[in-house]
Parts: sequence; structure tokens; C-alpha cells
Amino acid sequence: MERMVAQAGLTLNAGQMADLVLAWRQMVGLLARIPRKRALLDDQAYVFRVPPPVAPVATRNTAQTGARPATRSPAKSTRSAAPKGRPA
Amino acid sequence: MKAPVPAFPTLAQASRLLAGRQLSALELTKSLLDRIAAVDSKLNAFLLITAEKALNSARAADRAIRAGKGGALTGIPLAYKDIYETAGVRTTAHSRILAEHVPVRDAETVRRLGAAGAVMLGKLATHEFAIGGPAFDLPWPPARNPWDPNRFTGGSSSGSGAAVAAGMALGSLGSDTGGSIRLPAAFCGIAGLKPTPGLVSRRGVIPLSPSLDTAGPMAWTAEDCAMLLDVIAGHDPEDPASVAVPAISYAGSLKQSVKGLRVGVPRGFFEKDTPASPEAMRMLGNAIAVLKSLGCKVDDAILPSLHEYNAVGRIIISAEAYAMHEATLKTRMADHSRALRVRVLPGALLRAADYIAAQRRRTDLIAITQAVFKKFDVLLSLPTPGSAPMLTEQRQDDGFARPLLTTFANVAAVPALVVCGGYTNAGLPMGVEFIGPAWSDATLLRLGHQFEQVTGTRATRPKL
Repeated sequence: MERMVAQAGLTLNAGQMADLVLAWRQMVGLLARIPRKRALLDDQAYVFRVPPPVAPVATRNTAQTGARPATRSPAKSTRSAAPKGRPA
Repeated sequence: MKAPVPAFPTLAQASRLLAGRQLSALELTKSLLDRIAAVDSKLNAFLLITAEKALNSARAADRAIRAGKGGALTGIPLAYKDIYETAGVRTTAHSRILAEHVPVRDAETVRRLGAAGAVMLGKLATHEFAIGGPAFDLPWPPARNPWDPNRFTGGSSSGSGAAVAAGMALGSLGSDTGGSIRLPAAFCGIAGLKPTPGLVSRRGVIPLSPSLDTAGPMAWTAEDCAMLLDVIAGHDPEDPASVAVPAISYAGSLKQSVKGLRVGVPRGFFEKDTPASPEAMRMLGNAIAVLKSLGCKVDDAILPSLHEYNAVGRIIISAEAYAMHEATLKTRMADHSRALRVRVLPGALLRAADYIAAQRRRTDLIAITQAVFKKFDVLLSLPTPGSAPMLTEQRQDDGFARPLLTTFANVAAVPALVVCGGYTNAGLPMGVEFIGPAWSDATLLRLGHQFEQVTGTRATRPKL
């Protein structure tokens, strides 16, 4: 543990080290719950991004028009900061 | 004839009274400042009270209302967790590290609320940098629970929970990375929404773990939360995770029927993984009966163990929080609370492969959870296994060995709403949690609102 802490560049007093030892034991238990055996090509992109809740919009045929695909303007698709009125 | 002004108006009630000119923003703000002066010394909810600024904002709100330019939140007094940056007003994150930090710009959510005419009363206690626990080794004491000041508020939005429950603010902004809005909502007997990731901007909110952080409203009722969400929701190009979604009125959809909603109950969470108290289980039984009376169809839901979600959440939080605070942990270790050190320092020892494995496992769990939401519209769960523990019972390593019930929604990237579900025999509040698929925030608020109407839990305030 002292070697790991030194490698991390940390300087801990005895009390801080004792706290870390306790917490690290718990962390090791959590790490054991994470599956490691995955196919090489499994899940290449691990960053999740929530998709917007709108129906798919037909994409313009850019090959014919030479234009870029249409995108929605955030200014038109989002709420304004102004309140909508008082409750009934 | 004028209707009487309630002693503790909800945000919605105050909004109606202000609109009807039965109450002025200045009167309301003064009454809340008086309340803060009277009870906050017992609760330590406020780190900073911005009385003069609040009174000036209230006068401006009254002018706007008189000119017919008021909106739903014009003149509504709020207070913000002290990780929300506020221009010209000290923002400490409840830490020595930022004790002198005065931002030059408001967080986007604070900006939107200010533009809507809300009045800022001050800045609220949190766990240091929104992680750790109640700490007694910081310059400011931890917030205390208004229902029993010897008890824990829950955290990390501890001051938000205490201030709203004690009637010192009509609403607040909290942040939720593993349950930090919903835990204090449950222990303090209020409503708190962890929105769908990307719905509410986090720009200007001091980060803890950007993969999991969300910003959201806390207030006495689900209706109040909906009114706050109406203003703070919406795309912000300065938050990379913000999503441009069509605007809807959350407050305007509260009365739509919930009949026919399919409600799943993940019993494994609180019967096996983090066993709930008998009182909490009785409350859950009552909640199921209420939902059935509203026309919902209730059935058991099967999900992976809470331990799976908790392991992923804890590893990601430790790794990202350590990266966030590495510089000061190396140079100013002793200036951080022990509670923060215990939770963040293990991140120094994690390997990159551990962190990526946790992120990959998260995608699995998101997919599994999304599949469950094909069968159910909403999950009904418990945010905590019981009522608030004593402040002195807080273990420094909590959340490692015993999974939090709330972290599930952060890891699964779904919205979750906590509302008061009832009270223990000792008079302490307990929460129930409604969890839905991404972008079901309006459904959760509607269900929470109608649940509150039936249960009548909102009639009781803490006696201070």
C-alpha cells in the first residue's frame, strides 16, 4: 500500500494512511464485481450519451443537393428561460 | 375577500398569492429572512445569507408584478447549494479550498432563475465538494435535520433539504451524483428530482464526477419542483452533456391522468441488497395501495443487484473525483475534511483499466435497465432503507460496503423523483422514489404530485 501511495505522489500521515487502507479494502471488493472478460471488439464506445426523445427525422439526400444534412437549431428547439405563466 | 396567507406557503401557493397581489415579494422575502434568523442557528443550513441582495431582488420583483411582467417564479425566494456559482457572491463548496472564491458569473441554472425573477436568499451547506458526509473538521458545521436536529439531513445537498423542510426557502437547487438530491429529500421530507442527464445545465456547478453529475430542483412538493424545472430545463451549449429537447411545461402536465401507468417494484433492492426497515416496508405497501387507487398497474420488477450498480458508480465517482481534486490533495491534504479524503483518495490507486471497465459495465447496466422500462413506465422504490439516522451514526466508509439505493438511477442514466411517503411513529419523514426511463421527468412529477394529493403528507411541517 505504501508503494502504491508513493507511486500516486501522495504524502499521508499515519491516520490518513489508516483511513485509506480501510477505504481501499472496500474498493477492492467493488472492483471484484466489475466483469473483465470481454471480446476485443465488444463495446468499443463506452461513453453513454442519452439520445434525444424525438422521432427520427428523414435525412436530406446530400448526394443530390450537395447540401449538408439539416440540423435543428437549438434556439428553436429549446425552451426559453422565461417562465410560462402562473399555475392555475 | 383575500385568502389567508399560509404560515408556510408552498412555492406554488406563494406564486398564486404574488400574482393575485395578496402578498408582496418584499413581505414574503422578509418573512423568510425572519424565519432564517429564528431557526437556522439550530440547523446550519445556510453558509451565507444574502439579505440585502434578496431584498433588492424582491423590490424589483414587486415592480415587475405591478407592471404585469411577472412570471411564475417572480418574487419567489430560493437558496442554492453552495456548489452553484453565483456572480459576486462567495461560492465555497463548503471547503477551505474555496473559502475565498467569488465567481464572476452565475451558473446557467442560477442565471435562468434570476432572469425569471426569483430571489436568492443565500448559499446552502453541502458535503465538501458534494462528496463525503457530515464533517465537523471544516470551517462551517454540517446542516442538521429540521425534524430532529440531532439527525442527519442526508447529503450531499444537506442545506437544501434542511432549508426547504424548515420553511426557510421555497425551493432550492441541489446536485445528484449518487443520490445527493434524493437522500436529503427523503430524510428531510421534501421533494427532489434528479432529472434525466442532459435536461438541466450543469455549467457553473462545481463538478464531482462529470459522468454522473446532474443538477436538479428540491422543494416542498412535486408541483414546486415542476415549476422550478419549467425554468431551469433546456439546452445549454456550454454544458457538453446538455441535450436539445422539445420544451414542455412540467407544471402544466401535473393533472394529466396516471391511470394505466405500469409500475414496477424492484423488491430485490430493498428486500435483499439494502434491507429496509419494517416501517419503510409498511410505507411502501401504503404507496403501492395509493398507486393502485390512482389506476396504476403494479407488479414486481426484476433488475440486477444493486451491488452491481453501486460498484460501477463508486469506482467512477472515486476515479473522477480524485482526478478533479488531485492537485489540492497533494498540496493541501489537511485542508480537506476526513470524510472527503476517505471517499476520494482510493481514486488515486485505481488503474485506468479499472475505470474503463466500470464505464463499460455501465453501458451494460444502462441497456439492461432500458429493457426493463419496456415492461414498466415507472419503478417504485425506496431512496433510503429507513428514516434519518443520528448524525453521529454516519460511518466514514458508508456507500462502499452497503450500496446506496439511489445510485441505481445515476448509473442507469434515468430520472428519479423522491417525494415524502409518510412518517415513522417517531414523526420522522420517509421518502418514496419514482424512477422512469430517460425523458420521463414529466411523468414522474405527475405521479409524485398526484401521490402527494392522495397521501396528504404535505400538511405536516417540522416543529422547530
